[in-house]
Amino acid sequence: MRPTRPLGYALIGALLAGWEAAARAGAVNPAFLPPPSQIAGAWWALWASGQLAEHLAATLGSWAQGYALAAVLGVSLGLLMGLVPAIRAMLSTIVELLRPMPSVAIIPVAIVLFGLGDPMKRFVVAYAALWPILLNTLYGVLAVDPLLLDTARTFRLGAVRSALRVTLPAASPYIATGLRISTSIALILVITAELVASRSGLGYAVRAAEQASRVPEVYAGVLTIAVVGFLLNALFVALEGRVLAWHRGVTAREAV
Amino acid sequence: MGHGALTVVARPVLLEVVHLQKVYAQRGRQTVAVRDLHFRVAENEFLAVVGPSGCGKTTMLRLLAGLLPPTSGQVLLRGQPVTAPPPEMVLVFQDYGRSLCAWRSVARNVQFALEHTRWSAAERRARVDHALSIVGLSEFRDHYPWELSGGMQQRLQIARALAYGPRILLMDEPFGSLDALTRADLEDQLLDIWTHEPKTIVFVTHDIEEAVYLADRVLVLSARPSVVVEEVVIDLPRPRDQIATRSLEAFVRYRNHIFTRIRREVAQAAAGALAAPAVS
Repeated sequence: MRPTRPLGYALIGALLAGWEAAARAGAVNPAFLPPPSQIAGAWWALWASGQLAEHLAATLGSWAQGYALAAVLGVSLGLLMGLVPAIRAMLSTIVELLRPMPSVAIIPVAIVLFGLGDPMKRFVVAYAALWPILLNTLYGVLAVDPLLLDTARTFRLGAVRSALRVTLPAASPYIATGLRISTSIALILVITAELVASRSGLGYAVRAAEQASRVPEVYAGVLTIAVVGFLLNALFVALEGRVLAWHRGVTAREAV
Repeated sequence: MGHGALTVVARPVLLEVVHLQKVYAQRGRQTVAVRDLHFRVAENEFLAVVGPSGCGKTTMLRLLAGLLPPTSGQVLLRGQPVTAPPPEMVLVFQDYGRSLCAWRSVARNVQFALEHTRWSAAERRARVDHALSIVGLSEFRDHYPWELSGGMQQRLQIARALAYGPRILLMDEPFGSLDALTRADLEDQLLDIWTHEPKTIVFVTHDIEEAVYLADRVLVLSARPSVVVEEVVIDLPRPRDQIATRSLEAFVRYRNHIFTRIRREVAQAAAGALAAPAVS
């Protein structure tokens, strides 16, 4: 699915125009559904005051730090679990117990442990983003062709070299899947944490606006969050396309 | 048919396979993959190994390559037991597609064999270039394996093995999945490489004619569990030629002899399986 087609944009434009007209004509109550022009005005006011940039930076900061931690931990643990059966046996029970729990349920625990600040958000993000990365890395490592590992042994690569030069790159399409799933999960969690318990970030800004009945600001905040999600995903897809160009080639060839 | 060794005996023994046995234990059941293999390979000899399908040829090569520990017996390389892949030996797999690194270009796949060696960067580059030129892949150095045909991928695997500079090349049905023309072409390239840079080759194949065409000596294995049932010294002139050699009366005699021998093995194995269900 390519969200960048002109037809798609045309539809969005038409919907916005319809919304604007409906709000102005009084077909919908502008107190609950203000016209887009008013939302744009609120957005611009928030941006000009510097508040929006501040919240955006807080959200992206927590997102990036938590996500980076999850990526490092998830890939290393997944690699270790995949390579060492004893570690896999040890950790898989914990993983299976924790993974099915909806990650938002960790927020109260995180508040107890870290209070309401950024460390709490980082923890929540890292926790939630960890599982897809960890599990996909594990599956990727287990799916590496044994013949490739034999090849590495014939050329006398040691265990560490073989892990880094063969297992890791061979598993990279799986790892990328985990990383991609986690970009949006991390964003969901950081916004949720901000909505329920935080004093900074886009989620907090939306909640504060809603409690103060500044309806256009609520919409402006939500819209900003949507754009952030869209851009993060686009960034990831672009990066993945570059790093895994070889894999696209292989799968295209197999599909023929 | 020639028993013993005419040309072989003059050369020193490089590889000695001593009463090699491999038993796989799976869920309480034991499967004998290799019963008792006993043979020698001389320095710079081209040895082909043929046998009924499923006769444990791949297991044998993995044992020889030090990738698999034997249940009993041993493999001696210059008198030393092989317990891990030795530096002067490379195994070339039948399944080239699975053995190549899909994320590396052609040149970097060859480089893969050299990255952890002591050679300098310049020396490595030279070895990569040389290996690629031997197999005729120089102009494809920046391609990816999946952009190459099957024959080219197998040539790439051979180039990677050659760059490593092994004294011994173990080859597991390397041309088994290629079409006849590509196969003939690669057979001749291999003989060419072997002539110009002498090395010891142990070549496993299920194709009897290929074995006779390439080798100095052919080992015939029994059906699983494998033992060597016969060794045939191939006294055909070199350089060999796909048409001239294969038309020789002697070639046809070798081929028919080995073919008959293997068919008898298969028949005996079937009879044995009826008399006493396999599995020990």
